[in-house]
Amino acid sequence: MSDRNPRSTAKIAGHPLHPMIIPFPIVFFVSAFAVDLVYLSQGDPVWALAAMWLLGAGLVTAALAALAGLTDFFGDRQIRALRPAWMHMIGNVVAVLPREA
Amino acid sequence: MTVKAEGAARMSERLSRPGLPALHAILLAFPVALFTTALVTDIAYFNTAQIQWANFASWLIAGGLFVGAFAVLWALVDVVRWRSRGARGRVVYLVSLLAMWVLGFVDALVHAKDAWAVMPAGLYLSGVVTILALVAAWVAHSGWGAGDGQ
Repeated sequence: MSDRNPRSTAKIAGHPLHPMIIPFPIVFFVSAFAVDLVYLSQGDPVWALAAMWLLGAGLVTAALAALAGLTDFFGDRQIRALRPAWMHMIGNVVAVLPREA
Repeated sequence: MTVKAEGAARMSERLSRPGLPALHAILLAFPVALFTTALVTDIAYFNTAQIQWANFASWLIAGGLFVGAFAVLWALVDVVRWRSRGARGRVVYLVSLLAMWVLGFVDALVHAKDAWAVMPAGLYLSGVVTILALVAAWVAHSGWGAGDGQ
């Protein structure tokens, strides 16, 4: 191990982009689930519409987060040396790809 | 070491980590993402006059207020309990979060009006609330307590 911290490649004024974007897909996907539950119990189709928009927004922002995350991942060998970084990437690809399909 | 001393040691170890606990960060993510999205749907309503955008905005604001309330409570407890470590950052965070919540509540009331009566006050309020949410998140994730306190 070298003595420096892992470095972000996708950043703005020194601040990594990836952590700034991830709240959006997380909140959109959780909200889509919440809205689906409301649809299930109430049956008003407007909730299905809201869920569709939330899923769409979640997928777009998840793709942006993935772009920034992968840039960091491939931009620094030290990040690739971290086991949790691999778990995190594989886990999220598995979580998001089925929805993109 | 007594159980109590062990607990205190663990607590101080936890507090010595800069930034927010993970659960608090997740709670904070909701007002940040939902108020920002409410601003986007307000802009869409302002440009298209499609009423569905105004409905979406009021639900998004309601969601931001609901989850945001828990983040406000948490921030309040933090300010009361942890006076020494990162005190200034925690107070700035609480103030910006509280301002976000109060103006967000006003924004929700404005969005409860009929159709175009929401505009333009709702749009401006959503903009201010979004900025406050982003300021709160910026302060919270800047790692208070990393250097000060002891």
